[in-house]
Amino acid sequence: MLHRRLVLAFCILVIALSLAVIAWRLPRLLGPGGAGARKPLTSEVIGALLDRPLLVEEGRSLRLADSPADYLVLFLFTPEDCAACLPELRDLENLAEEQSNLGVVAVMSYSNFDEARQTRENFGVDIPILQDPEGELLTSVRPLQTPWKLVIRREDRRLLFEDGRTVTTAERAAFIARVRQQLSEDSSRNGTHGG
Amino acid sequence: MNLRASVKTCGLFALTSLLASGISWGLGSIYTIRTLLLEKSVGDVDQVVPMAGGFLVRNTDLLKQQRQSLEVFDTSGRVTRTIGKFGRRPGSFQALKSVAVEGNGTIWAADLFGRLSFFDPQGRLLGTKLVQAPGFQVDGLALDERRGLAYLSGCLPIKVYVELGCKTIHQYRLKDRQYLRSFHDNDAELRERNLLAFSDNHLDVDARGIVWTVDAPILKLSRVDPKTGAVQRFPIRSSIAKPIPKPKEGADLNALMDDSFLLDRVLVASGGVVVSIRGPKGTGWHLAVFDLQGRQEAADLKSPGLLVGKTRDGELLFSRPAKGGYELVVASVKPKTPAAAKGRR
Repeated sequence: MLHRRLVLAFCILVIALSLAVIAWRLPRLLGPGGAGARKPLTSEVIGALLDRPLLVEEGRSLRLADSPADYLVLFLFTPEDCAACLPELRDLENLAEEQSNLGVVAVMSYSNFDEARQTRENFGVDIPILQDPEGELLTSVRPLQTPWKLVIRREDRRLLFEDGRTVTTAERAAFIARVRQQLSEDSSRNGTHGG
Repeated sequence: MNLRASVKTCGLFALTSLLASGISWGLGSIYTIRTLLLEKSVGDVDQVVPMAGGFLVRNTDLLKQQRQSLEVFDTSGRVTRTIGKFGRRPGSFQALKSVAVEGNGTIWAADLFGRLSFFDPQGRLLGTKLVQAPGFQVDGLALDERRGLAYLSGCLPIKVYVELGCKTIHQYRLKDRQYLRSFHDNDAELRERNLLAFSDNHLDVDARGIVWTVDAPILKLSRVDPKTGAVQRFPIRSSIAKPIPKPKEGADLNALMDDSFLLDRVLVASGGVVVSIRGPKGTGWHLAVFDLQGRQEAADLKSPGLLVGKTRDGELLFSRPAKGGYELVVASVKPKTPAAAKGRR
């Protein structure tokens, strides 16, 4: 009798545990972070991204890891991204001027140098636009949308935060304020000094 | 003559006039000039542009993206080369929306997602232009070489959000492809009746530089004078086409689109302006014809197929499936004299 009860209790335990695991995993499997969806941007992923050579011009490439800035804002976009890029890029350009330890780099996927030149001219911005012609960098980040922004601390290859497209003035201002705040907090915590 | 007799005569006359005008208004018909079999086993024929030695054929299936292509056919209907392919890199197409060919043979290909690709007649990529400043999704493309201008159509929000209104015609300089300006507000009915999801702006330019444009769900034709910015909107009268109903909340927009009448092309040809109206799924197309002043000359003309373009002589081009490929029908809405028709064969 006791033996039968023990078996029953064990079965119930196994079923309960299985249900708990399913309840925990199912939203991840089915939701936006589900199977085949985005993996967390760990230091390894960010490290690989910083070490990837990106084309600056014909025959010349650079690694973001070699940037002198302590913090990097990576602005990932593709040629078809909308005009919302323009104010975002201008905001980031201003922010880079204000924060001496911040570098802003735009990475244009599925594109070429001529389109990068056009983008700089169209938007009237002086941010370097690096090339990711086959979209490999974009594939490694798997953003939920483009443009997509990553704020990275270069030294320990850590993602501070990421954000998608901002459209309204208020959304853009909120993103810039968040970068400022994050840099300020992070700098005081780590003893680095910003702008 | 007594009063009763006068009223009777007058009434009879009015009735006869009304009947006659009604009959004559709907009387126009399409005259087939010649046909050509395009040997095409895969894909559709969505747009045809004549070019030296043949035709450029655009095939766009936005649901089967890989199927997008530009093919060059010779005058006997055989494919001689393909240009570009599906993809995201320069020289590829993601949603190929419209094509045009300059007099010097340069091919313009407009991608919905805001990239213009330029190819030489052999299909070599000459360059691209990103539609960024301003940025909008490109619906249509028309060239006005006489004035050195190019026009793109598509919704450019006036105040950030498309719900607040758009400019739909965008003028560029042909020489250096520089953006010049945007004009023509989209129809208020589009927003009032919640039809923005169906919006698809088509355009063409006449010999005087006037831009003619339609938006798919609105049964109106707009005449826009780029010099003055003056816009005239003409209702498209039809006894067949019904306005698309205002979508209810949660409605299946794709099903509604399939079940509705939508304007799918406007072309300046046959000495007038021809608007193609696509009927609900499987019911074919009808044409409305206007003169260059905007007066409607004919309505509900049964189209021999999908209106896909025009020849350099202003004849209309229709495509329809046929055994062994697609048949390209060269036709006119104006009767040709037997001699002229014979001369063209």
